[in-house]
Amino acid sequence: MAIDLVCGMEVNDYASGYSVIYAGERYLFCSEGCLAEFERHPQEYMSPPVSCCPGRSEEDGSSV
Amino acid sequence: MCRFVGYLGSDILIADLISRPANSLIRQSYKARERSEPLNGDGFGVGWYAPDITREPCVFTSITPAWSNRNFINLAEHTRSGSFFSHIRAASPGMGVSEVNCHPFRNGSLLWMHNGTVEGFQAIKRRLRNSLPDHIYDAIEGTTDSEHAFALFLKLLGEKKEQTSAADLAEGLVNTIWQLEEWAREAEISKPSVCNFAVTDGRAIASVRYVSDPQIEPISLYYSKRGKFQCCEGRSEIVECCAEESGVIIASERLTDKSGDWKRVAPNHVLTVDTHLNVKVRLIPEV
Repeated sequence: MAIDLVCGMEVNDYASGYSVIYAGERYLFCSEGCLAEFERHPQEYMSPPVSCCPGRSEEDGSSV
Repeated sequence: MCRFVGYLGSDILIADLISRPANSLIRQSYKARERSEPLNGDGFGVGWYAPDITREPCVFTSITPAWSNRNFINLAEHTRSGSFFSHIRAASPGMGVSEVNCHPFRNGSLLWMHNGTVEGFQAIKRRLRNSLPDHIYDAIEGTTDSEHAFALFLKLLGEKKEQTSAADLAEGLVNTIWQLEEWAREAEISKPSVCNFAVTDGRAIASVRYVSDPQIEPISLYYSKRGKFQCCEGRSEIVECCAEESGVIIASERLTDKSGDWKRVAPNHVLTVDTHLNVKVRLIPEV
C-alpha cells in the first residue's frame, strides 16, 4: 500500500488510476482531486528540505 | 465566497481566532489572502457553546462588516468557549444582505456554515423545499442556498439529530452533497458547485472541501495540528500541549504565518474532529 500525500489515505498500489512522476519518484493518489491538488502545490506535500545551513530555522530564517 | 473558522477543544477566547492572529478572521473580512476578491464585508456571525448553561449555542449575527463592528470585537475579547464557529460573508449575487442570511445557522444544538455557492440554486430551490418535513421547512428564515443546504442536511440526518457523532455529521454532509448533485444533474445545471460546508453539535465537527468538477481547484480549507493556540505580544502560534489544553481549528485560510501549523483538507474529502480531538480525513465517494 502507498500513502496519498495529499489526504493521507492508504492507496492500493495496483488499483489506483491516479499517479504522477515527480522528481523521479512515482506517487499515487486516491482520487482525481488529490492528484490535481498535488500538481498545483507539489512542494507543499513533499517532506521539508533539510536545511543547508545548520543552526538556522527553516521557518523564519533566523538563527536558533 | 466568504471565509470561516471553527474550533473544538479546551476553552479559549473567541478573540484568539477572530481578531488576534496575523491573518485573523476580521483581517480576512477586508484582506483575504486566498481568494481573488479580498473583501468579505456583507455581514458576519459567531456561534458558541456554553455547555454548563445549555446544549444550544448562542448566535450573534450582524450585517455590518466584521472589521467595523465594535460589539463583535468586544464580545470576542470577553467570551471563552471550547466550541465555536465564526463566519464572514461575501453575499452571492441576488442573495440579500440581512441578519437571517448571516452564518452560522442554528437548529437545536447544531451550527452550520458554508463557504461557496450551490450553483443553479434557484432551479432546484422549489424541489428542495418540497422535500422537507414541516418542522424543518418552518425553521428556514432566510433566502440563501447555504441555509437551504442546512435544511436538507437536517432532513437527511433524520432522527440522529439529537445524538450525533462525528461520523453521523460526516455522513449527513456527504448525503447532502450527493442529493444536491443529483438534483443539479436532473436540472441540467452544468456549472460546478463549490460546497465547503461545516457543521458541529458542540462536541464534534465535520467539514467538507468540495467542488463538483475535480479538475477545478476548490476554495481553500485547512485544519490545524492538534495543540494549544496561543497569542502573545502580537505573535500567534500553535504549540504542542497536554490533551486538556489542546484544540483543533478548521479555517478557510491559515490564521498564522507558520505553515507547519496547518494542513490543507484534500479536495472532495470530508474531515471529522471527534470529541477526543481525533482528526480523520476521507474521500467523498462519487455517486
